[in-house]
Amino acid sequence: MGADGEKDRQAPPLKGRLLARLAVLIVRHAALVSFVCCVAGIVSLMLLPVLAKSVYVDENALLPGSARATFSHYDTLKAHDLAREIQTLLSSSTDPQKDFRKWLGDRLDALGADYYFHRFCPPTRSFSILGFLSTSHTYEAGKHCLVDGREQTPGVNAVGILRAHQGDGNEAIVLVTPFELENLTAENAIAMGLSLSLLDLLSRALWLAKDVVWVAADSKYEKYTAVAAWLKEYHEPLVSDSSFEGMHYTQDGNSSRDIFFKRAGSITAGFVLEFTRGAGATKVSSLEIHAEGSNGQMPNMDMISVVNLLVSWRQQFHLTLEGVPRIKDWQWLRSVGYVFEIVGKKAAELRKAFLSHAKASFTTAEDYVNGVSVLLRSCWNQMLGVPTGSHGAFRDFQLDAVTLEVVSTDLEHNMDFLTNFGRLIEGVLRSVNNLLEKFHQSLFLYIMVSPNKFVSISTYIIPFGLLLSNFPIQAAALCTSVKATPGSWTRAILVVILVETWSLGNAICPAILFHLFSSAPTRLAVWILLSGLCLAPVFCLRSDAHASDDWYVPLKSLTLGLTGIALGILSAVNFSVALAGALLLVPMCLSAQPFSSSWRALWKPKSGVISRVNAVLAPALTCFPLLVVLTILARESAGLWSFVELMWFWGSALYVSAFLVFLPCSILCLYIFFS
Amino acid sequence: MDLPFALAFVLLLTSCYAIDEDFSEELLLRPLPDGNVLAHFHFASTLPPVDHYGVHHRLFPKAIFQLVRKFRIKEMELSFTQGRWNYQRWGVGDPIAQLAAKPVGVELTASLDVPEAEVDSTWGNLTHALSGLFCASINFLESPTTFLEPWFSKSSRTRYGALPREAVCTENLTPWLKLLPCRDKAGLTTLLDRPTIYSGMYHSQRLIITSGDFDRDEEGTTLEQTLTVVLRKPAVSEGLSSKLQDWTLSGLFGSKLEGKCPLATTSSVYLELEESLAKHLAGDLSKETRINFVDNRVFSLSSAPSRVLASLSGSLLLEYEAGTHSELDLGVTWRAPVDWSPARGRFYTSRYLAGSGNARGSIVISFRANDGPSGDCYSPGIEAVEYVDIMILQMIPWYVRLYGHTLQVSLDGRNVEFWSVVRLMRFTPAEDRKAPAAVEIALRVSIATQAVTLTIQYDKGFLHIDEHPPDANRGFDLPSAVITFPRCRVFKQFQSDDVGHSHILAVVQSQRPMQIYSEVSLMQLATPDFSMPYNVITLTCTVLALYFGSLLNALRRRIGEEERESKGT
Repeated sequence: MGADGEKDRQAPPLKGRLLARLAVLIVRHAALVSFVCCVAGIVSLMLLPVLAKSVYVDENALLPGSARATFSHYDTLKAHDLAREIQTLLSSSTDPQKDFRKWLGDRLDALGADYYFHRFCPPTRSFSILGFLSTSHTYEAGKHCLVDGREQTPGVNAVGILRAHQGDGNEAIVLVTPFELENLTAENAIAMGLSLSLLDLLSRALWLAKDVVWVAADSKYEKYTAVAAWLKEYHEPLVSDSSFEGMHYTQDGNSSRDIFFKRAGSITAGFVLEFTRGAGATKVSSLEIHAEGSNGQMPNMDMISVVNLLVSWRQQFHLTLEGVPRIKDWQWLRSVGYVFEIVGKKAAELRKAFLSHAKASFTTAEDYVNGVSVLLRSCWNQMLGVPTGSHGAFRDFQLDAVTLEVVSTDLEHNMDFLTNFGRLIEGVLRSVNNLLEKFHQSLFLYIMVSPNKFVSISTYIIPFGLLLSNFPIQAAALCTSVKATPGSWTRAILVVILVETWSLGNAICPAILFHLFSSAPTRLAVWILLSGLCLAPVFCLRSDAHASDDWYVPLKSLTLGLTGIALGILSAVNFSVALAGALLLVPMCLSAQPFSSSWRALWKPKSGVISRVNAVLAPALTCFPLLVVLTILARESAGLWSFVELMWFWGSALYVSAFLVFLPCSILCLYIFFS
Repeated sequence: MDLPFALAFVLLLTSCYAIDEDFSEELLLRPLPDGNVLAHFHFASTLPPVDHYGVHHRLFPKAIFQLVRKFRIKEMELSFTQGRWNYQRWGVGDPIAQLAAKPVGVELTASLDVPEAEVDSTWGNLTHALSGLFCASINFLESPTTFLEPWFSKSSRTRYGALPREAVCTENLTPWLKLLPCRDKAGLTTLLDRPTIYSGMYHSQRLIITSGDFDRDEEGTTLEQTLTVVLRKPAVSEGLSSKLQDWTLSGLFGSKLEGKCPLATTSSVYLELEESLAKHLAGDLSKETRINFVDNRVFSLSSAPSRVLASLSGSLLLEYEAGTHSELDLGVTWRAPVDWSPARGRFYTSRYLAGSGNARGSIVISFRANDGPSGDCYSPGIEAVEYVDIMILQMIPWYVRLYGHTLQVSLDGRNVEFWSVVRLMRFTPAEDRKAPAAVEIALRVSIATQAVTLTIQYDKGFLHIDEHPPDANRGFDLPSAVITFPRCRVFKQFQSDDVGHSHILAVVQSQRPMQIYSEVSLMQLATPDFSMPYNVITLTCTVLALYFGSLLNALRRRIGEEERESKGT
């Protein structure tokens, strides 16, 4: 490639095949092209909320809202009664656990539902190198659970299976209501009451074709754990020892029938119902949807669009998605929104003028700011890789689930709201019940912008692609621009291999340290010390040669190439992480150059504007990650280890990418900078 | 009495007994513990042997007779089922439950009296004939991938097949009713109001043919048609608490019973009270006549039974003659809240698929010891007291690739040595697109065993694009496993021997091994995106175009000429 480039430059009128000529042209004007790509990438990124499409129901069989909901005030009253019954039962009982279970069992039995109690223990947080990507935890319950070294009672999920009267029992819909018996809030009690009342309604429904499984998830050890434990037992039952041993530790008074783990066919969809008390004195009740699963996996978009469609059709709710509230105060973003609004208006007018049937719609600044807020939040959640609720447990088994969270301040007196919510759930369940096939349409890759707008992969891949294209272009340009000195490529490869190996070692390090030391600060200190010591020889390698000014070019081009490939692969695993990586690494990698050469470029009278700007920016951009890491270490050293533990627990792609992409890349840039 | 005379007497008796065609209609009603009501219609037509009676009939349906003659059917059982039999709530260990519980969809078992080599082809023709007769796609059972020859069956000429996806509706019922001499115009069949019986919780119609014509054992041909429905309890607004509901025949079926089918020799209605319910009735069961059935402290009945039969185990059967009552509107009004449990059998059985995703998984069959009454299960022999025998027949489609070495048995949560528990096994591997895999296992476990689990792992195969059904993304059904407890014989013995001509009582009295059908499971295979062929075509065309483009380019290009030209300029 390098040789070709030389030849091409010697013969200015380009000759050869069209594609080759185009490539040569791009490489020759690499600086301009990558500048344009960067700007276009950033602009299209900012445009994402404007380019968002309206949500639609992709699966025809769902038929949302085609039937009248029958959930009435009567059922709401029943829900209230049941909630009160639970509260009085708990306050008067000496053994709330046992009495509550008995009560729940009787209720479910009266509905004609099969019920059982599922015991589980929270998983131990263990670091195993092999098990990183296949996060499989065990939830086996013995007589006691060992939690942080102490013996605790196991969590007990209550599960009721409503068998569809005429169904063949092949498929099931799961309804989850998390509850915490130790401190049962009024909202929680109402959630239980509403679920039971809904089950009562469903037990009489003639239309039910799929079984309904209701899981009252004991959220003593987090909601997610309870649901994940149940799903794990549902899909990967333990046939060996302990599952059977666990059977004997039954609650006294329960017959053995109560603890047989019963199943109901393959799960079509899951819905988690949560009621929480809203902050502040506002009496507006709203419904929030959470959908992000582990590693940024999303459920099929129909799950959200059906809810959205039913809500917007009946006009009874304020449906929201989680956002970043602080963003709404950013004035500059609002100004950007105004610009887009004005442009959008003009575009809409133009479109109207030329196409009489075109819909003249545009995004207002307010919508824009809200969209950015939701989009950022969604990206952040996807990036962390930690599910936003217990629905994430479903995604681990390739099932679709969402959490519907009701935020309200005054549920006891808000009859209409509860009735409407019951009707909504009934409608959604009925929709899913209509499904003939499992969700298989293509909308799994998307980011929500608002409850009724989304950005699909076909749109959001554009800014990422534009940013990513800088890497190969710049790498090629660097390769062709400099005549390689004999040993420089070998040396560059050596350095890159050393740094990559070091990063890999760094990534694995916590797993080993976890077993060697017991306290978090020691682990962290040893980790930093070790990695620092191992890195030092690499930096010593630089001393031997500065044969020419361009000695660093092979190294930089290798870094660019590798980073580009890594980010490309990463985008398939977790898009948000890849996007964040691209935003961070593009300026850093492109501006990387030795301090000495940038110093010279700054003072050399002949150097151009670009190289001067670059010379100023390079130190700042290159040292930025180093500064960030140092700041985090200084301020959050206590939380850092637990964060690493969290990332490891969830098998987060963020961890992998931070250690195998971001870290080597920034170290290599630093290496270039300091040599 | 000297011998020739006795012989002549016996001959006279047998010929007298089987001299004429006979049709009987019976209905058995049973309140279920969860408040629903089981109604079991039993129609039986018998035909004397052809050798004695000839081929012209008065009552016996000609269509069935022709089937029997043409395909030389010795025994055949065909069932159409909608909904699931709830073994835990409705019982398993009693004869009616044994008769009623069938797997979802269509199930066909046939024993044919044809040469070994012709069995498969005759079976294929039979499925087509039945398909036409009952307006159902039974003909799908013709494909060798859908049926098998059960090893445990009596003869090698038996075939078994099931179609779990077959939807059952009135168009299957109408031809079935046409086989009855009175159709649905008179007698018990007038109760069969279509919307009522199809909105119930369970619906299973069966056709059982037994013919002795080919064995020359003077048995004749019998056609038994049964229809079992579980009707949901009348809706009440009470909701969560009350379980038992009062019911009457007219309330359940929407009409009263008026008279009998004039062609039927017997036409009776039975009300069965299960053993654990009968215990609630005051009084000594041996003096059953003393109990006031019409009005006691547990329930009251709308009319008095003409006869009461008590089984040795304690269950009661109240008989009503449909013909004698001009208008029979049988009903139960509950006086006191009673709670009774059905005969659940020794084990709670379930079969499920473990694992998620499209690659692999395992089939698990689990047995868990039940509490409560296990039912009328008579086990001959002393061995049986210490052991429980379990036989499992599982047919598995060929695209589920089983790993035989992963077959594992665990008792009470511990994996045990396979052959220490398994007495017999036949594992027939599948042949791709030709034959299903069949796993037949006979287990013997100690009676104290609390849990038995069998697992086998599998990989999911790939199907050709044209082998997928139209709704491939729904998944593929795995037929039920048939689980038999050969030593557990389910039957009821009555204190008085006078059973009369009742077929239903004969069925209840006959010993048969307990059989359970597992759930039907749905398996998700890796389904292709069906728009893919379009993409493939597009891509292929592009590649072809590029190929031919560059080929033509290379062929028509003259490099020498070009070089000369460039030098010239």
